[in-house]
Amino acid sequence: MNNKPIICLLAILLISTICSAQNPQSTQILTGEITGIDGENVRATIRSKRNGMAISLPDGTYSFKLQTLPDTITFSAIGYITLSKVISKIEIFNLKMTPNVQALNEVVVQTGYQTVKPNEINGTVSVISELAINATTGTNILDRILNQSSGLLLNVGKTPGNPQNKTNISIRGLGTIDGPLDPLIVLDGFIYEGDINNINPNDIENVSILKDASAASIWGARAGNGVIVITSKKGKLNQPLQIGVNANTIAETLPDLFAISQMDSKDYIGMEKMLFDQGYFNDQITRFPFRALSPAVELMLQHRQGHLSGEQLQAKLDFLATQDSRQNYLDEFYTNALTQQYGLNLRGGSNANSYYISGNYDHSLGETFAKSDRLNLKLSNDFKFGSVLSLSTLASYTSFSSHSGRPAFSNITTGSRTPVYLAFRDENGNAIPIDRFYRAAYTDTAAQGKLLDWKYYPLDNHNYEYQTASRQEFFASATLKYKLTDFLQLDVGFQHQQQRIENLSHAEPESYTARNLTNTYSQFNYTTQVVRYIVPVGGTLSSRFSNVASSTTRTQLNLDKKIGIHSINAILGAEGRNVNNSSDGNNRFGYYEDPLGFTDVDIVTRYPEFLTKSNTTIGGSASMTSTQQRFLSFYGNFSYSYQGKYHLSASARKDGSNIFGANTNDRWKPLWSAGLGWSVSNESFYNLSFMPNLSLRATYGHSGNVDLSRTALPIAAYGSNATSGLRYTRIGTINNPELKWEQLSQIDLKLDFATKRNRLSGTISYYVKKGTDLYGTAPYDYTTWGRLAILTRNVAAMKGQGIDLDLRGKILEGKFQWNAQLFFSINESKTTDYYRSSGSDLSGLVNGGNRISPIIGKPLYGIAAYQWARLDANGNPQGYLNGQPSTNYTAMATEATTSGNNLVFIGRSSPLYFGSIINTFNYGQFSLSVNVNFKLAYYFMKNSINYNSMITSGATHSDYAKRWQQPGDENLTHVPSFIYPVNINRDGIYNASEIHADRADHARLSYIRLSYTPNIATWGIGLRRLEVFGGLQNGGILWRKNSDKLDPDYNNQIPPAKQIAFGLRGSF
Amino acid sequence: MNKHKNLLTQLCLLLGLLASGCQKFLDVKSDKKLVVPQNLTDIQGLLDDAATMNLVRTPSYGEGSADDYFLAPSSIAALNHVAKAYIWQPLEYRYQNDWSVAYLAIYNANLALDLLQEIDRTTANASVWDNVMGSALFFRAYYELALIGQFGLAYDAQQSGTELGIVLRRSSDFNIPSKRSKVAECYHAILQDLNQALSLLPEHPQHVFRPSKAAVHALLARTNLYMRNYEAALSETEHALSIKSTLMDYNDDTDIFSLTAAVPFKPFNKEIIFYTEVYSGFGLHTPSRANITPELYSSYSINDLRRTAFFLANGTNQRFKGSYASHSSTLFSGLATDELYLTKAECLAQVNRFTEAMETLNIFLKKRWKNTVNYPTITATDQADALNKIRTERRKSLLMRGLRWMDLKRWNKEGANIILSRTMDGNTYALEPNSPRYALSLPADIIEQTGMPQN
Repeated sequence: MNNKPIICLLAILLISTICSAQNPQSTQILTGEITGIDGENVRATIRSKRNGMAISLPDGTYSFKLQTLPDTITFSAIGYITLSKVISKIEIFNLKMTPNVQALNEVVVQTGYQTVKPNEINGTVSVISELAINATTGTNILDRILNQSSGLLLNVGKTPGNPQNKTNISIRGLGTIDGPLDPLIVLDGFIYEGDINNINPNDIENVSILKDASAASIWGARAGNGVIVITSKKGKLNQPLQIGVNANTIAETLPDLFAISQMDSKDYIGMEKMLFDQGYFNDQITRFPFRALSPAVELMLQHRQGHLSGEQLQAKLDFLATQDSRQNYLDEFYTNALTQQYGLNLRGGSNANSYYISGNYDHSLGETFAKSDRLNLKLSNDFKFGSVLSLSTLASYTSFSSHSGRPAFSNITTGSRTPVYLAFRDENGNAIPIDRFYRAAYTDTAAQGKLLDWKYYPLDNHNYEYQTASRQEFFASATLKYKLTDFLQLDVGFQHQQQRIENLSHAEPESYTARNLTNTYSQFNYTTQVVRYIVPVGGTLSSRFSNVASSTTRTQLNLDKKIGIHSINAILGAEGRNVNNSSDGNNRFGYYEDPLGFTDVDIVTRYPEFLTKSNTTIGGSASMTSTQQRFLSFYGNFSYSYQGKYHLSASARKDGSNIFGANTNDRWKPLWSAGLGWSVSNESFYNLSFMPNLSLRATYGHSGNVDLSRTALPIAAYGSNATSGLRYTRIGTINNPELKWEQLSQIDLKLDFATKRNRLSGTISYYVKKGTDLYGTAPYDYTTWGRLAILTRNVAAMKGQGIDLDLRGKILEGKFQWNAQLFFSINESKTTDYYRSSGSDLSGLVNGGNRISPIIGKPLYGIAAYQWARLDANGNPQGYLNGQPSTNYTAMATEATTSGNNLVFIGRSSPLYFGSIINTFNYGQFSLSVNVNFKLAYYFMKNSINYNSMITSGATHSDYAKRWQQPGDENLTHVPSFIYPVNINRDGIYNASEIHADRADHARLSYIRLSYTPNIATWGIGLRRLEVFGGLQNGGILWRKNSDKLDPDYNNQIPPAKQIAFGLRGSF
Repeated sequence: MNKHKNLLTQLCLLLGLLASGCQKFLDVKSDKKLVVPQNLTDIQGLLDDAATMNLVRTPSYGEGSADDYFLAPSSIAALNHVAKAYIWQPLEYRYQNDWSVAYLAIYNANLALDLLQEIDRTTANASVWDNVMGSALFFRAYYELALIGQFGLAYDAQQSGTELGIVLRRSSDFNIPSKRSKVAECYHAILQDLNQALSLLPEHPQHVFRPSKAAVHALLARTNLYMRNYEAALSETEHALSIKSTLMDYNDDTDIFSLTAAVPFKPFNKEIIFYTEVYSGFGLHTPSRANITPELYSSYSINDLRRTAFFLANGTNQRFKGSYASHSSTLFSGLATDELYLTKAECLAQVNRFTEAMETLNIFLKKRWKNTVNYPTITATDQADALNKIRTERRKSLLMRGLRWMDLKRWNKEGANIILSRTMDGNTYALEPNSPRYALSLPADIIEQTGMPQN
């Protein structure tokens, strides 16, 4: 038959079908509006494989031409999570995009001078975002950034040798030995001189930690310890008004006073009775009959003097034996601390102006009933005048006030002792006075009772004796930016900061201090029975006002140009800063607040003290200080990228200062850095598809560390001798023409990577720090100048090295998400050169590990101890002398300082490994975040009983109960017997023996936080977003290596109390 | 582009201005209270710093080792390792101590002398310049004498050329190492400094914290007395007394509160020529703890006003309360007219003019005797008797003044054969007359740092 026509028809049909499938019935346009989670407009790229690409408009609307349906369309925008949607029919499609703060390439880094993306700089910077800052609540910004970055460590319990250290935070370990340790703090582009407690974390957008040399080079000679750059929130252009509110409360558990080890009260009283019977207190009782004795000893004295019968004495001692001072302090002076924080902020912007206004109020009740309030007000504006000129202004005001609370643990002593049974109430629960300095039995009858009551009433006294502090800080800055060309911009900025602090110490007439002062200088005429007051009856007021004012001017030229495959970014600037510090202190006597009045008192003449009969001056002369520091700097930063693959950077800064005595060469010290970077993943040969981001960086640079209190010339201070009226000159610092500034150099190698879709991303960096010409104290022949036995010279050197690892991973994706972050740091710092006199090195490390002890080749924080040779058959601790067990303590102490053969090096006392692990689980509207931090590979020295301290000051330890008491006990215990008279060297060697050293490794629960973010926008109450959260902070130790259940960081101290926090955050 | 050129020029100008103004900008003092001592007022200020130069400064170890007092067993028990000092055994001790405190004053003197080199002496500043120079030399000599009296053996013309004394520092540069000079060198250096200072100082000082001619003579007298140059010492006391010779009458004086008061003497009384106080040291001699040796106390007659003025009963013992420092716990150690009279008497006796010696002694003691009772004039039969009586009265007047240790040493050199004895824990310890332990231990850390030989 004829099939040809049918085949033709079929073919035509087929072809026409195919053709018609490729021809749209009509050109469909998909439209809608793209907004961010806070309602801001988002500039997004809309893309699909079949339909090409479009970009949304500035007002957030978009239109996308679709020729074929259905299609999978992706919406992506910088800083937001990419969304994909299958579109099958045309409709208005609006979408909300969620910010993605964890994407590697979208984070911005604030260096204080510039805002850059991480891949534009070669340096190593950690950025802590607002989300991480808000993972915990609390009033101090530095507390919020701990455990949120690698390399950041809070050195708990370490005694800073230098009084300029305030924060105890180190970035990448130590870079100096005796110099200042604090990192530099920069707020909104300028060095912050005020009190860090003034900054309210609710106003902060992010914190950048500048860790390597490229950071210090731009910030100068004070940045050798790293820089913490804090940036406040600002408004955005073209953003509708958005109101944010937040409120939270933190409640703390009562502090654990029982973490402090104490002897049993019954044992303590037994010990005091033994001393009393042996006549230990007789010297004091006869020579100073007015001096306070501890309560039990006082009772024993009363009994001996016949005022108490034997039964009465025993009854009272039995009562004291039931008392534990820790419980008594808790009952009377401690409470659950409570902090409340409230905040309101408004932000928004038109196309020529954006603003951010905020007000925050915090109120705290401390654990000892201390109170404090803080109010922060902030206004920041950005104005655009045309296309070339813009102005940024910032004004903020902080007001802080505090009032002291009740006495803290062991604050109240009786005759310089802290008895473990100290009671504030008697058997019937009535408040009792305490013999704090003087014996009431003596003072009650002094001057036939005509003097003021001389007793100390612990439960009340804090109502009459208290300290108040108030701080006001005002901060204003303005920066004018002018675009000279499209690639050249000139910034001129000015910042002024002023802080005024007022500290008042009140002692009202009923307070002990006021009564004691009046009585001390009272003169009683036994004939006429009249009391003459040298210090009038009334209160005292000690006041101290201090003022800090700093002004900074900065001029900076910014260059940002892309020429084809070359990209150049540079800044060049000059900055001058002036800081004035002044203070004024005064004391008033006979002070009454209402009606206001005080009496002039002769503080120059010597008057006899009523009890001691010595002639002394009343003291309390006024004081004044005034300092002015000036800095002048020139700086420049240059970075060049070739094809986005190779990066070259360099920076330099020349600092000058008026620090007294420096000669011209020392005043002008250039600091520089250089870096190389290679974005491996941008190379054409790179085809690891599972790791789309990989880059390598290396930097090297120099910085300086200057101690503002040191100088090379002899420094004298003036004063006036009150007795002769002659003016005197006193040398405080001896002439040392060889004194220089410290030098720090650092090399840093970094690798950044990210796997597909950022499933796993991170940074690993290795660094080596070398500090040379470091300040070091060394003993010297003080025949030459007897003021000090040690002098500071630039004699020291140290080396630090380590690794910082930041890893982020999306372990589970989907409805139930599990994200994890690991911050892991390895840091080791040791002394490479330090002058030591002849004598053993290790003896310098026998100090418990809490001070920097420079011993060549050893870690800066380290512990050494005496070798232990067991208790002998009489319960005496044994060390080694000439290799043999011995109890010749004086000789062993000498051997320790001369040859050190009887000492052993235990290890470092600062963690080698530290970091934190954060796990976040998201399910629907709930999110749970757990942060565990850990410190590993270090040691601490446990405390034990020191009999000499026990006798002289009442400091005890529960080890007393484990002491050797009878022959054979030396096989059961290592606690020596109690011998009287005590032997200081025996106690010293026992407490410094290796048996007390233990590993300090532990892991702590930083916080656990649960939050609920309901779909509040659908509830129609005007709220756009709401987050309700609650959690536990300072959760305590989860795991520890030592088997004595001790907290290694808070050894024999009160650990931080656990906090329960809850609150809400919302926006309209 | 022109517009930008203008701006760039302005920028360069600004930077240029900055660069030139920068020096001035940085020339501001960083702490208004800090100063580098440069001008005469500053240097004088170094010597007027009483807290560094006068107050609680002079060596105390010697007084603690001397026999004017003893400690009760309970006080000895409280001494811990310092108890070795009580029984004259070598003691290991470190900073802070007599040595550091005295050498700090010497540093100030040396620094003043160094800085003075940079300042020209003109007719306008002559008196201030001279005062600074003289004061610095005086202070250096004063402290060196106090130190050698404690850390060196008594002066002996034959042996002092080989026995070790103290360190004589002559510069404020701490890079110069310390060496112990011989005792003879030390005494000669002291005499040299004092002789140079004599013409530079005023007769009377603006305040007794400051040196004066009278002080120089008094110190020369003391030095020569220690060297047993009695003629020279005598002449110096006479020079000193010709400038200042007032004595308080203990019966009644404007400078006395009341003899029975806890602190009888007013501050800076009329007998004081130069004021210094004894350093607290190991606290052995602290008045509240030191009990006066019974035979010393019983040697005061009932009518001797010193008995009432100096002592306060403390149970069965007596404590010293007669410090010219007007303080119940600080001892006076400076130069005063009472010492001059006693030195003069001793020197006169030594050169065999013992009748004049007794006259001087009586003039002095009359001021210490109850004026309602007849004063029993003291006479002497011969030189030895005179010396004995004068030495006894010297001890009774000048006790707890930091002088006894040196007196013991030099009298033993003359054959006085005084043996000291103390008990501790039931054992008795003695210090023989010419024992090497009369030169006390130097601080252990000084020996470590310098490698100098220890006593």
